This record gives sequence, C-alpha cells and structure tokens, in this order.
Amino acid sequence: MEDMSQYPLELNGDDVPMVRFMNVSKRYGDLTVLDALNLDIQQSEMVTVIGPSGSGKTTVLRMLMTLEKINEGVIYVDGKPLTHMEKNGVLVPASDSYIRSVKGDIGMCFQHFNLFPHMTALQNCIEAPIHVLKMNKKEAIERAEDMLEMVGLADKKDQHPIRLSGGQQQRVAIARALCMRPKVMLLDEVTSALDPEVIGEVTNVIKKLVAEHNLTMLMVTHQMGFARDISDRVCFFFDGKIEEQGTPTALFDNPQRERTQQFLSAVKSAD
Amino acid sequence: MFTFITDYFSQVGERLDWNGELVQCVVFPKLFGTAYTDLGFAAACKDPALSTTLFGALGNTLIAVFLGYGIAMVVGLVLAMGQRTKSKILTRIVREFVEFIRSTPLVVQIFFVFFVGPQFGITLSPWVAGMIAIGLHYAAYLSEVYRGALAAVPAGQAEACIALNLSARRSFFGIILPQAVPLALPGMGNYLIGIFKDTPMLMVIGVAEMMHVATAIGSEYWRYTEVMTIVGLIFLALSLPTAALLRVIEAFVRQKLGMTR
Ligand SMILES: Nc1ncnc2c1ncn2[C@@H]1O[C@H](COP(=O)(O)OP(=O)(O)OP(=O)(O)O)[C@@H](O)[C@H]1O
Ligand SMILES: [Mg+2]
Repeated sequence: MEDMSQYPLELNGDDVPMVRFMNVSKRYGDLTVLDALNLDIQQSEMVTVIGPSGSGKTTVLRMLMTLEKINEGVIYVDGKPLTHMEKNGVLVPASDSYIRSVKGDIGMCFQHFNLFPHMTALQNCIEAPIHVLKMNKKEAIERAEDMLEMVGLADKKDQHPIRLSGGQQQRVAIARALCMRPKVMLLDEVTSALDPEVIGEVTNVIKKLVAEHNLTMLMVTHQMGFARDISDRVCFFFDGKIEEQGTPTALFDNPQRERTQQFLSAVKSAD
Repeated sequence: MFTFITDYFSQVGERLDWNGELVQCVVFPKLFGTAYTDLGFAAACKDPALSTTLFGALGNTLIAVFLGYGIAMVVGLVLAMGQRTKSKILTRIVREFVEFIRSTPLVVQIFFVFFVGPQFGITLSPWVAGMIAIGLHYAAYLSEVYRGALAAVPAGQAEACIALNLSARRSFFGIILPQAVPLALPGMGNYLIGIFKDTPMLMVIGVAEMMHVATAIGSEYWRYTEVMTIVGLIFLALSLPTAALLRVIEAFVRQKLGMTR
C-alpha cells in the first residue's frame, strides 16, 4: 500500500500549478504505461506532449479527464486533489460524486470528435451547460452561439454532425467543450483523423484560443510545426516517462537526449 | 371464376350436436358472425372463448400482443440496464435470470405462472398470468437486443459524456439510449412478430385468442382445415405488413434523430 501521508491535502502558496501530476503511475495488468510521472502545468500555460506511439501520451490526458483510474500518486487540479479526497486527514480514492464536483474544471477534445450524432451542433453545445451547469436554455443558446461563432461555424449551428466535414465536427467539439468554461483544456490528437486540407481550420481555432483566452492547455499532437508555433513548453514522452522537456526552441533545435534526437529526426524524415 | 373460393367457404359441414346426433350445418358463413354462439355449444361449455367470433378473438390476440410487448419493452430495458451497473452481483443475478428464461419453453412458463401460482396463494386470471409469462419471456429476449444495441454505441460517446461532466442518468437516457434505438429496432421488430406468432400458446390457459376460438370452432364442426387455413392467413396478412412497417419506422427514427444524411 502506498503511503498517502506524503501527499498534501491541497496545494497552497503563491505558485500553485493549475495541474500537478505527483508520482502518478498507471498500469494495465503487468504493463506499466506511466511510471511515477511528475508534471506541473501552470495557469495559462500551453503544454504539448509529443512522443512515439504507445509512450503513454493519451493515457496522461485520459487520467486527467478521469477516464482512467490511476494506480499510484495523486493528480491535483487548481490546488485540489482530483483523484483523491480528504477523509480523516488523509487522502483516499475519490468517490464518483467528488470527482464530478472537481472535474468540471477540465474539458477535453478527442481524436474522433465524439459529437452526439442525434443532436445538432447547437444542441451538442447546450447539452452540458443546461444539464450540468443548470443554465437556462436562453443563456445556454447565447453562449453556444458565441462559441460556434468563435470557431467560425455560426451558420452550421442547426446541422447534425453527419452533415459536417471532419474539420467542422472537430471545431464544434471544441466549441462544445468551451461552453463549459473549463480552466484546463485537453486536446488529444485533434487533427489526426482529419484530411490534410482541413487541418488548418482546426489549428487556427486552437491558435486563436491560445491568443485570446487564458486557458491552460495540454495537447498531444504529431504535428511538430504546430507544436513549435504555439507551445510554451514541449514534453517528449518515451516509454511512460518524460524523457525531456523544454521550450519549443530548446527541445526542437537543441535536443539533449539521444532518444529525443532520434525521435525528432525520424519524424522529420517522415515529413 | 372465383366461385371455387366461395364454394369452399360455404361448405356444409357436419357436427355432433350436444345430444350426440349428427346434424348438418353451414360452416363458414357463421364464422364471422355472432350466429355461431346460437349453436348452444357455448352455453354447454361455459367457455368464454365461445362467446366470441374468430375476428373478435383476433382483437384479443392483438391486445395480448400489445400488452405483452409493452411489458417486454419496459422490463427488457430494466434487465438490460441491470447488466450495465457497476455491481457485479446485480449483473450476475440479472444475467442468470435472463438465461433461465431463455432456456425454458414459453408454454411451460405460461403453465407455470398460471397453475403453480395458486399453490403459493397467488391466483391469477388467465389474462394476467398470460401477460406476465409472455411479457417476461420476451423481456428476456428484448433485453439481449437492447444490450447489444447499447454496446454498439461507440465508447467515445460515453467518454464525451464524462468529459462534459454529464450525470450518469443524463448520459444514459439523453445520449446513449437514443443512439441505441435505431440499432435495436430491427431486433425489436423480429420479436414483435415473434410475440404475435406465440400468442396461440396462451390458449393452454384459456385466453380467448384466435387459436383458442379456432380450435373450438374446429371441434364444433369437426372440420379444422378451413378454420386453421383462415387463422394462418390472418397471421400472414398481419405479419408481412408489420415487417415492412417496421423498416419504415426504423428509417423514420433515424431521420428524426438526424442520423441520416
Ligand atoms: N485499455 C488498455 N488496456 C491495456 N493496455 C492499454 C490500454 N490503453 C492503452 N494501453 C497501452 O498503454 C500504452 C500507452 O498507450 P497510449 O494510448 O497512452 O499511447 P500514446 O502515446 O497515446 O500512443 P499513440 O501515439 O499511438 O496514440 C500502450 O502500450 C497501449 O497499448
Ligand atoms: Mg494516443
């Protein structure tokens, strides 16, 4: 059993990170996917995760979105524990209702969009604000229309996903997540399922988000150019660990570790 | 040209009347009218079935279908949801129940509910017993249809619900279930026709559905061929359009849900 007393009940002080992974491990059976991960993401920081397939990038996002349970360690969001809750002065695994009360700060967009196919773009966007935030319908619609406008799809609001292109669907998915006003936004390879010619419309929306909103973002991508353009920090994952991290310039132009160099040159030659 | 049909349907039959004498009677003109209760058979048997005609019995058959299917749809959903909970014990219990029902014949279940219930002080009318038996039987089958349809909704939908912080209830009823409906409809349609074709089994406990009345008529006139032919044709005449109608409904539902281009 893990000694939980080493983990603070909450994070205090001046520089509390927006997200803190503290000694987080994730295993599937015998396979250790993440090994004692420590990662802080500051308020308004844009962190990009790169790395070879199977290195655990998606798993990091899924754990933070509470789609996966962690085996060891604690994840904190905005100073509060996410995966655990306080009981008699120590942290114990969080109950479902506790998790629901905390994870509202986090939003996520998926590789395959996962829009609700039986709802129009607008209905997709107002679903959670109405049923989770208990907003009234009129306000929810106003907010959703603003967000759809922001992603450039105001005219498509009454279309069902099946009638939208992949790029449009992904932009609706971004708008839908933003309607919940998350503090942290997770993007898992949001352009990987898209045709090359529509990738730009999605990356432009993300660039706009970074420029205009002070969201904290954690993004997994295979597009190195895009990562370099918009990230504050890039983390290179290898085999369930952060092999190297730094500013885009440092990591892309002057990688220190051999595996980083190999990965980057492999990616470059593939382009 | 079609006189052979009318000839066939107006044949003179013979029957033993209640005094044991052989009498002649016209068979089919009386099938669809109230007239045939005049024969006195009903009075002798006190069988409620015989106060009705074949078409009257068709009404009963349809009522049995709708009641039984209604029960099956609702209970089936409960059984399907019971197998999606986090509780392993509950899932196991529901699973075994479904398997149990699916591996015993409907006729036996109908008998069981009707005749075994009274031994434990539960006396049910034929209708109530019949609807419980056929409703539960088809609930077990429908729960499997639902389960398959729910499982076929992509996992990403449930993950999107979690990411949007929707409650478990809203996720299920608002997101997952509506998407499962068009997937479940073909299987549901099969079992709707199935339950229709299984209603004759209710005759074993004396529910006045078509088969019961047809048998009574057959024994009344000592002629089964004609009346069974008619029953078969009625079943066919209703089953075929139902299958077509169900395809229309499925297309309609998909369109209503915005899931067609
Ligand atoms: N549900 C699961 N059961 C077992 N193993 C899993 C499961 N999900 C992921 N894994 C394994 O965990 C490891 C990390 O997976 P993850 O999806 O995080 O990789 P990734 O870095 O996102 O890869 P990619 O670039 O291909 O998306 C892989 O080896 C994968 O096979
Ligand atoms: Mg991945």
